[in-house]
Amino acid sequence: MLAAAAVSLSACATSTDYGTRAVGDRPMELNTTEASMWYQMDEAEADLQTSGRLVEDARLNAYVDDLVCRIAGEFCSDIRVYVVDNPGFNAMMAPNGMMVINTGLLLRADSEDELGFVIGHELVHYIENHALEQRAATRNANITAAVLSSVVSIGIAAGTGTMMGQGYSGSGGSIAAALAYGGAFSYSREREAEADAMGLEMAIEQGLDPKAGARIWSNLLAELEASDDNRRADRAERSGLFRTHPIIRDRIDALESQAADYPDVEPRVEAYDAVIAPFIGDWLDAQIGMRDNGSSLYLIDRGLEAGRHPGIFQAARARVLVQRGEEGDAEAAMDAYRAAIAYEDAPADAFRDYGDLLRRQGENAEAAQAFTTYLQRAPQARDARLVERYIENLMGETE
Amino acid sequence: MTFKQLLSGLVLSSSVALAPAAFAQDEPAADYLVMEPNAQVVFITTGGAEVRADWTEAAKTNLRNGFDSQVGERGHDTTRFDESADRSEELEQLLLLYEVVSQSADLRMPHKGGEMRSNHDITLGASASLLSEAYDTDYAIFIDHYSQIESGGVFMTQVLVGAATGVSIPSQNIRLTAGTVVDLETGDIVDRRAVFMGDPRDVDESANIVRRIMNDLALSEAELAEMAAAE
Repeated sequence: MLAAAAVSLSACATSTDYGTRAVGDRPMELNTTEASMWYQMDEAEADLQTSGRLVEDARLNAYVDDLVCRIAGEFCSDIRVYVVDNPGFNAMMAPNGMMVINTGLLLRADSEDELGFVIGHELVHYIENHALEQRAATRNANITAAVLSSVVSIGIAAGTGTMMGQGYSGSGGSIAAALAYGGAFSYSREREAEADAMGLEMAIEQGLDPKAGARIWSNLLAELEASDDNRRADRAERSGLFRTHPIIRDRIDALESQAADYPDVEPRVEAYDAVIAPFIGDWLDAQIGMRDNGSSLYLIDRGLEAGRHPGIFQAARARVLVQRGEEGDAEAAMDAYRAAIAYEDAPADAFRDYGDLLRRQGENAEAAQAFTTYLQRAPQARDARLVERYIENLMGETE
Repeated sequence: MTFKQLLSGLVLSSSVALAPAAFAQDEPAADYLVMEPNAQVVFITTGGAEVRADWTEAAKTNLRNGFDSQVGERGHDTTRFDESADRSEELEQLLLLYEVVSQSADLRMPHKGGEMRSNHDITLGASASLLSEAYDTDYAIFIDHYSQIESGGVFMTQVLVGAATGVSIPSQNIRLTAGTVVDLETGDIVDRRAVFMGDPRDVDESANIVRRIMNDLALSEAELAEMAAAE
């Protein structure tokens, strides 16, 4: 009976090799796993389109669409790109051709080349049918775990001669399941490494910087190490049986090794920056709202080192310091605000927030001046009436 | 529509679905918009769970046809919602709002005075008129369905493990369907009924599911009043 059970259940196991996709592929039979995934992704895509989370700026979308098409080549017509307002570092490629790019990724990429590498990585998942293959691997792991758990349970029960061996069978089944799922996770890590390597090749074919892949992962690694969130920080170097992705350090090493075979290419920083510049302030606000001050400060300091948009990055730095509120942060925040408002690109909010800090310290004249500048720069601000009242009060107290 | 979202329908069904079956036939005819069913049929195998596209499509077609014909049998005119037509952003928002209202309508929660009851006072609001303007109908019928269907392999695993360990593994089979009538002038829920069981992939069984819902479902405020009086 045991053998029959094992054979019949194992017969359900499927191949994990779906090969390479052809342009325009779409499952014609609705009773397949692939059709199931397409069906769910089509529904998810419809939901995403009406979610209110999409960044609809025409210039930004045209730029990202164009980059995706250049790298995707003949697969361009299969892909629909959505830029989603989400501060997390992520991109996702669904098997139905839906590509999602988070604003958190756009904020962290320093150049078109780095974004291009991530796009290449995601396109490899699509072209090589990785989602289907991973689904098959997980399915096989589930079947194997079910078979082994059943066999172990029955074997132990038969050995003990009673039904009371369930404690043993439970642990035996758990070990069997762990082994089965460990295989599926290992398979996932192999697919990720393949996507890194092939994705970088696709980006290089379009003339992008070969070092971009290693660079964006190195920056992410440093950010994770700076994170206040222990779980994120652990991701930096964590290894284990149940990881879906390779260790980041290993990915960097592999990409650096791969890039060494190619001549250097000047990264496209300015063109990329020109497209994302109007959004950097809002994206930094969203990042700060995640309340991972360590990550935020790392990102901001990296931006300041690059020398781009110093007013925006200094103001963001001040907000993180105010939010963190550790000893010395108040003074450092004041310094950051003073630095921010000295630059032409300082956001209007920086003057208001600086004014508020000054007001709390009793620096009434300076506070009133900062608030006045805020209203000059943002006359339609929703809090304009409140700030006017502040100014009136401050002026009265000054006089 | 997930099982969790429909779960509250179980409470509704068991609490008020004992209403009289027959409605007066001299009720004036009204125009009903039969919405695209919000359905999901999930196949549970030893390899995992997946939404079966073919089964879900069959369930949607059968349930939509069932409501269309059976509302017609009660003497009303019906129009089908055109899923493929371009929609305004406002209409998209209305359909999303229905999903939220649907999830909330049957939740039993404390109200003023400590009364525990469902939220049938919840409403789609005046924006529901977008549908009446687009389709020239008085009411809309929303259809929600969720199924989980076990494979033979899952059943066999349950039996084998259960026999060996003495631990009974509960079946994962679930079938639940709800019908909701919304007044498109006010956006208010007129009535909402849910039933267990039945396989919507099959034409005859699907018709039977709809019949069991329609048996208790008031299609207008007048029918609801009639039902309340009979209770």
